[in-house]
Amino acid sequence: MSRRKFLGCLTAALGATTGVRSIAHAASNKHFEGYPDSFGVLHDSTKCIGCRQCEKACNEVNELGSPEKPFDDLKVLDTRRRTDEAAYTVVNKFEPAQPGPKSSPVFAKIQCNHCQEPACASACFVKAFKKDKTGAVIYDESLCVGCRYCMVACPFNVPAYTYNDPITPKVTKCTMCHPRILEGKLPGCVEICPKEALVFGKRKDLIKLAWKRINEKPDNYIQHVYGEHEMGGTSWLYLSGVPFDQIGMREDLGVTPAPQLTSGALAAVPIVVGLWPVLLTGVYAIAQRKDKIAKEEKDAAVKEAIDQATDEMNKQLAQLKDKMTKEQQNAVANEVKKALEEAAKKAEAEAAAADGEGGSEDAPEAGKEDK
Amino acid sequence: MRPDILVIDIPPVENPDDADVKDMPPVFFKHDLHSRALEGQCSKCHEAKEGKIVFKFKRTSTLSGKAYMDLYHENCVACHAEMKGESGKQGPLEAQCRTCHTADPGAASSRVKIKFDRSLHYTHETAKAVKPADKDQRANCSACHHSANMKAKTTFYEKGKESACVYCHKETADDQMPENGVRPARQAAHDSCVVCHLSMAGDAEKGGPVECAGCHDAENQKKIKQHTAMPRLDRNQPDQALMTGFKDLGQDEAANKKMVAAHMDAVPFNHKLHEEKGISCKTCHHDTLNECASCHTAKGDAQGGYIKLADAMHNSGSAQSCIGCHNEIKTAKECAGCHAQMPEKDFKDQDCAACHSVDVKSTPAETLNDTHAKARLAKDALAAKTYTKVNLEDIPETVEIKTIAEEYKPSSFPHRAVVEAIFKQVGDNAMGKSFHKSDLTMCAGCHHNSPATMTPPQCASCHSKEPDIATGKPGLKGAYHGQCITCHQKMEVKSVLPTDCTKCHEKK
Repeated sequence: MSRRKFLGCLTAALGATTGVRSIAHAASNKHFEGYPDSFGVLHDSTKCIGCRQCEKACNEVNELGSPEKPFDDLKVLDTRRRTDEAAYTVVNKFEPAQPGPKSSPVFAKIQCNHCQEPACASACFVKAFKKDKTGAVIYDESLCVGCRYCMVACPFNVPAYTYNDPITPKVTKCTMCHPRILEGKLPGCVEICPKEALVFGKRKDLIKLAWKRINEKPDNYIQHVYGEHEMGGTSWLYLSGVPFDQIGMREDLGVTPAPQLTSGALAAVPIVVGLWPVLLTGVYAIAQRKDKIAKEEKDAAVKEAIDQATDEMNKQLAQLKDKMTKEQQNAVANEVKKALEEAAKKAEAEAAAADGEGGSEDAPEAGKEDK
Repeated sequence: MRPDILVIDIPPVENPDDADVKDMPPVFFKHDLHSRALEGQCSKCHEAKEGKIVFKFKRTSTLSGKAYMDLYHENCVACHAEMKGESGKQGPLEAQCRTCHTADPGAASSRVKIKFDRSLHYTHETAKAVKPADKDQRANCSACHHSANMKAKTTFYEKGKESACVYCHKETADDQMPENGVRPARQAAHDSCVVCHLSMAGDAEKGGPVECAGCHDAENQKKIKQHTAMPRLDRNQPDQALMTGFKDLGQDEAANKKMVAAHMDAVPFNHKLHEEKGISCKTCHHDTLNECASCHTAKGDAQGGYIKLADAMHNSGSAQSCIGCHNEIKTAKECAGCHAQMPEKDFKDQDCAACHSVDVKSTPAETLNDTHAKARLAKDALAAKTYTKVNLEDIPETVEIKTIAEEYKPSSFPHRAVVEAIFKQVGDNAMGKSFHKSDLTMCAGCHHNSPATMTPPQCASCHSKEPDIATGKPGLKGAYHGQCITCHQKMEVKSVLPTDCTKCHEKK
């Protein structure tokens, strides 16, 4: 059995095993629009000046310790970075190709996007991640078993892991300053941003604000609010003056929330594990059967093709024969006709010659006259 | 990279039987290298027709397929062989296929288009060597400009009808002659420019470039003399014109009234000023030099690309329209400081009277039917435009910005110096003056959304501490930093970087 075939069968088997569940799934899983009054943050990259103040505030709020290089060192921006256990947010600098002679760098902040339906929460089998009604995706260290499925699941590559802490390692990511929100404070990064490139508010209002900005200055913005629909929507929203893929943001994510893509398969995991031998046997049997059917089908198809070809050939031969016979007949008829015509001509010529002889009797007389 | 690389490739063949000639990569031919090696003897490769050189290799008409290939193979190789006898250096011979047919050209040709701008035009206008084709003319326009009799396939000179070459010689593919038989722009340009330059070749003072690189090399283009002061092009164009939107009025008074009432007040247009700003005729007169309404009718039709006359003037997305072009100019750094921060105005919110300022309803019909009278009207209207200056002394010298000082000490903003710098950059700009009407308009760049006055309200009277998400109004911090920093960025003020906090306020 080929690898492809095996995987194909496995998917089929999974589909079959999850089929039972999917009835309940369909009934319960109306598309989750997010908590109605949940919060979010709008990051307008056209306003960002790359001052790294947000990184600094984040560091202080989350007590992440002093960084390798100070936050006022803007040379750090020359290297592209990602979030890690010591930085829940980072700003990257991009130099996208812009129309016109002027081209200025564009800054884009990354942190956890706090998905409406988070892939990390969906991948976590101990429910260490939870989408809170504030909009924040919060992490409960006490439940985490350290499997790091969340890190694999996150389409934005955000969760990091404290590998440097061998005793009590944990997953780290932006909390959207959930504790601060509960206290009625702004998230650290939003509060400090000097340019108001970050705006905190209710997600639905932020979407309106984002579109308002786009509509007021259509030339300044790409006509898209990133996060409005990406992966089913995120609490963090983005505006940009250049295509999002040019500032390091994925544009291939689609609008389907991660759990919708994976919940079926993930729910099937325990079943698959339990029924592994049965399943494999089944897979093998199915493959065998598939092979057999395929072979039969193939043979039948080949036979049919051969039959068809033979038929076709016979038909063509018959036609050719017909044509040949007709041509032969035509040729014979032509020859006969030609022979008959020639004979007729000959007869005519003879008749004419006979006439000529008769005529020539007068000739000497004419000659005589000449003389 | 060189600008003179020509790609020699067999034109697509119609007969697929000839397709087998295409199994080699095209040849990247270095033209200047060859013309130098042949010491400028064009006739070695080019034939002449009617006394003029034809810019095709060894032929005067088009060829295709095997005939095309053979022509090049025979002639190139023969000449290379001949050169071998004379000197040690020569081009590739037979069986050295890949020397010419290199799959990889290394890089694309560095050829850049040459822009026959106003300055270069002036150089030709004033060149004694460029003689008028029509001996009776004093000016030498007829040396290049011509009209065409499309039926007789002849060209002739028509004084006062000179236009840009591209109006007729379209910028189409090189080897495809358009149906009307008018040569594509590139071909026409080489036929005219290079042939004329060749006729003066060797005359260092008068002759123009004859090599590819002479015109099409970026470095060489920089060496072309740039005139700064030169007279206007003379083609009987008006100095000022009154744009009414309607053509001549008739005898029927009631109908005239109706016609005038259906239109906006007229726009006095300073044609001369627009020319002086170095805007080429083609910028606005993009297809012909006729007046706009000759193609763009009031209701729009196929001839004008279904663009109505009004849209032709107001379409903000087109650089050929008044508003579109003005918007583009506003992206210049002098203007962008303020304008880049303003939301794009809805058409209905535009200040119509800024342009539509001549009341035609009270103007007699005979005036509106007389081009000269209209021009006078326009001239008077333009001359009547005023500009109000403000007294610099009345502008506060420094402003303490302290309302929200937390982490930093209050900022002592050098208000007057900034205003002066802005006035200096924008103040004498004709377009700015014409539309701003007063220095106060520039104050409104920062003191926006309130009537223009010398005593504008404080920022904090509108902006609260936190941004207002519903209205999109920034908070005080966002408002200050948004305006200052964005303006510095847009006006390219290098001395104050956006991330240099202590430049404006000391740390506590």
